[in-house]
Amino acid sequence: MNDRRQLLLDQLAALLHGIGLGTVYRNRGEMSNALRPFLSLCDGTETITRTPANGARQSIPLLIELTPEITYYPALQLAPDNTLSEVVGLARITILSAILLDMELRGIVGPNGRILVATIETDLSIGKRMTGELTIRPIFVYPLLLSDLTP
Amino acid sequence: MAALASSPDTSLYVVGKGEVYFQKDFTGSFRHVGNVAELEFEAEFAELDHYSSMGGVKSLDQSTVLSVSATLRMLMDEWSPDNVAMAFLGEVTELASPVGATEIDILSVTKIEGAVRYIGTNEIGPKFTFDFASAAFRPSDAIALISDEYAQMELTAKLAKRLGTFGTITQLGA
Repeated sequence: MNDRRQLLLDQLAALLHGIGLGTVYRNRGEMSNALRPFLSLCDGTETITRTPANGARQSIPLLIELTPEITYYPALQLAPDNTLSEVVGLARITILSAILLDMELRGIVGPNGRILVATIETDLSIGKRMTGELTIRPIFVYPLLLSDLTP
Repeated sequence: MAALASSPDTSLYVVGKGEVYFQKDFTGSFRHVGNVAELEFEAEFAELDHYSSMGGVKSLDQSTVLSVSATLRMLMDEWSPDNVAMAFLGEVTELASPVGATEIDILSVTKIEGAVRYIGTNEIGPKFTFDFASAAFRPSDAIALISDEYAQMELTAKLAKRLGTFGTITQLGA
């Protein structure tokens, strides 16, 4: 099987396990605060960015954008203060560098692919919970080839 | 060795990616020019058309190719001294101090000549290696020294025959 989507998500999970930000939970819904600090990895969405020219006999090869969702839940602070921003900032750098510098992820997306970051969000803004959740959505652009469709 | 695909076959669709090398003055080793965002080849023909005037409306009855030439446009991302020298038509001189410093005399030459090699690394479609025997580069667009975008250097080369050929294309396999 050459399912790049699964290879990317598995490698991403393996990477996140090794960066010291807590246990990684995949595709889980509501999580208990008692588990903090931890990381949540959701498969997210895939969108098609490039299709063959009009008149092509088949709709492949395609270039696909896989956008998983990684959320870091830091330990709850009894008296939130300025250190929360530092905790979130350090987690941000740790996650981004792990993803953007990993040669295995680059190898999976291949020479026609690339790795970007779509959005980085925190809940540190007025009207939100201010507990330091950090959500990063990387983009993995990879080609879907005929050979990838063999079960 | 796997058999090469033949049409019709969607594995022959190409989304090009690859690496570009330049051999200045046709001597020495090929230098990697770094990331090239766009590389385009364009053939140009000068034709002499002949029209028949034996009817009410003149109609084309013969066309003769008078000349053939080609250009290679390259959009470079990396501002190494050698690349900057290509874009500003200069020569790179190493300075005595500070160590590692270089100087380029702007517009000191009228073209930068050499051989170009493009090695396809694309996963979508067959891979080719293009060897262009002789390319004379000049800058072909404004170079943004101050900008909010990544600055790129666009060069366009006139391709010429060298040793009897414009170059070769080699298929590397699927």
